[in-house]
Amino acid sequence: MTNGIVLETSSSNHAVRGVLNQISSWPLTLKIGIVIISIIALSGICAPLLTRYDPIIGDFDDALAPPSLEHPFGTDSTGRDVWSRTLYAAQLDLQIGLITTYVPFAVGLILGIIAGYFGGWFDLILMRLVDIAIAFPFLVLIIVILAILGPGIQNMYIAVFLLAWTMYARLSRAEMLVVREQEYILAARALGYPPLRIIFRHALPNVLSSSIVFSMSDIVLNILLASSISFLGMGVQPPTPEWGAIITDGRNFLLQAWWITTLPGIAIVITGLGFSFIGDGLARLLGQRNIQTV
Amino acid sequence: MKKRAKDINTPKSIATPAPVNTTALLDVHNLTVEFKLRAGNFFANRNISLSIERGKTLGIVGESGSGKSVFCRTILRLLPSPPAYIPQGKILFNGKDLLTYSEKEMRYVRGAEITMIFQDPMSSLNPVFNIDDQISESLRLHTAISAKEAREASINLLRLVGIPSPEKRVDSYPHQLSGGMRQRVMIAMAIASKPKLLLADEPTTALDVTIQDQILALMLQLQEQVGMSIILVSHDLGIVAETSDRVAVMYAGQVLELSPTEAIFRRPKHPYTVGLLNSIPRMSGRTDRLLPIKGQPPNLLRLPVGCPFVERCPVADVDICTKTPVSLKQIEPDHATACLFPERVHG
Repeated sequence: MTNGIVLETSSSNHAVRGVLNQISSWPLTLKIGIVIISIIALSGICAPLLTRYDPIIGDFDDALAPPSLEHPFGTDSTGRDVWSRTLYAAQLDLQIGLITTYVPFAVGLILGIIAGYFGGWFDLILMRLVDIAIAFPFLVLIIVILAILGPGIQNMYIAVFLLAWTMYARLSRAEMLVVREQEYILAARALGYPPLRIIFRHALPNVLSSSIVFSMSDIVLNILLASSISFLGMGVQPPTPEWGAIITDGRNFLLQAWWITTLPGIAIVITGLGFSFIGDGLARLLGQRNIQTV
Repeated sequence: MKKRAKDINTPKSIATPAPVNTTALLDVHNLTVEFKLRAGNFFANRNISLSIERGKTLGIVGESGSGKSVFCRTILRLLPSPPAYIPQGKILFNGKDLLTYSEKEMRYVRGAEITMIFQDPMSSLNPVFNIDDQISESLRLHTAISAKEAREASINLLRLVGIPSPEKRVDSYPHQLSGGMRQRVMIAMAIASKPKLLLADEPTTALDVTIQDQILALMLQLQEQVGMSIILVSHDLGIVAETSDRVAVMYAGQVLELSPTEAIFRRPKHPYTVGLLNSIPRMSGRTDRLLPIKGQPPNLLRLPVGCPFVERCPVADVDICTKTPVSLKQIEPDHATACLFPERVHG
């Protein structure tokens, strides 16, 4: 029993505590995933602070040195510090992952929900385009497009944008087919709301969940894709550090200098795990029953 | 999306309604709604003719599948056009035929002149928006007011529909409210623009009895305050008896009887109505058995030419009743029935 003194918490405190409470109730996998990805992202952003070695120019005298206190990840064939390269590559890989995922996400989402709501010829044509895109193995098509356009990150972006939106269009259209039969959508129509408003304000928030969960696996797949493309020499060009490129460089020295290939490879694995955890956690949080995780 | 109804030039067709020479607010003539499905075509509504005056309540009673909900949705033109088609009929609202309106013109009518509330309050509200957002949106779409004013208006509306602590409730999400409260919110949204006609499609079916009572009382009270007409659709005769001025009994897509409430309940002139009244469980008198109507509801895909009720009718003359198409006929000044032998019907 207090002695009559009432502590007045300010309303902003209330809001912060409310949000913190909500966050603490999130699934554990989600929190772990966020921590992992935050660490990796921060490392990438703070790369200049975490290493003093230049990721591009190396000291030939110190080539192929094993991991040590000086070089935590060792050095590669031209004497570049692998830890430094891995850190700087984190920026690039995360950036690639996010752009190649969320640009098609946005485009596919919009096209998908419009097709799902209105149906008709727009829906027919869109779905046939989707069918064409998914009829072929994704990687093969990307390589074909890159062979035509030439290597480089920009062209890789173009190739992915041309194909990846189809997955999101399919997912969001399917969700929209369900959502548009919901009674709150009918109620919105009965109140005289115009169709675009209904689609983008009322239906869209309810259609997002499966696409968001899917996008988490997609980020992982896209980072792997970028790494594979760079591995094949068609993506990121040397000397830009990118995990796949670093791994390629280390291939020839696998027996003498395992650290060049292996340690950045572990970085990819951890990043992939991080996004998978986020995807799994989000799926639980959003109450998804049909999720596809990698 | 920021355009308000006021700022746009309302199409002339609805800005100046034609002069009416009847007092009827809504006058439906021979409305027929057909569904074309792969399994076959059928008429969800067949030759529906009824009307409702300003400030009055019309109760529409019928079992599931009788076409009551289709009727309400057709008034607001909410049925998608495959598979629903309207081969004939007129829906005169204030003298103008709603069936001739374009989709754009209908959007001015919906939510402003004619509004509808639905059966399941659990799913009628969008789960991702709070109450303030949802009510304010409908207010701001039809009138040019600021977000702050809309919030104030929403709080007042919540108070009007009897929600306690409306200033706090207005920030709640639908899942934080009970069924009764959600239905009140729906009603608040529906009357926000002071509509002339409220279509209530089984508004209390999903609620428990005590709340049912409160919601109905609320609707009648609001009716007086706003001066609106109500079409109350229900399968519950008790609700209709309590609230309606006139009653239409629907079966298999047709209106079989239409009259003031008292007349329907005291002097029914259709065997189906009698059957419905007899099937009401009673607390006194015969309490050992229920008296259902014999037989099954008809298959709408294969309706007989004549009266749809003929197979279950205790007083039918099978030859005549199966072959003669039926429609509402006035047998008393304000009492119409589709029965070919109303004199055989004893309430």
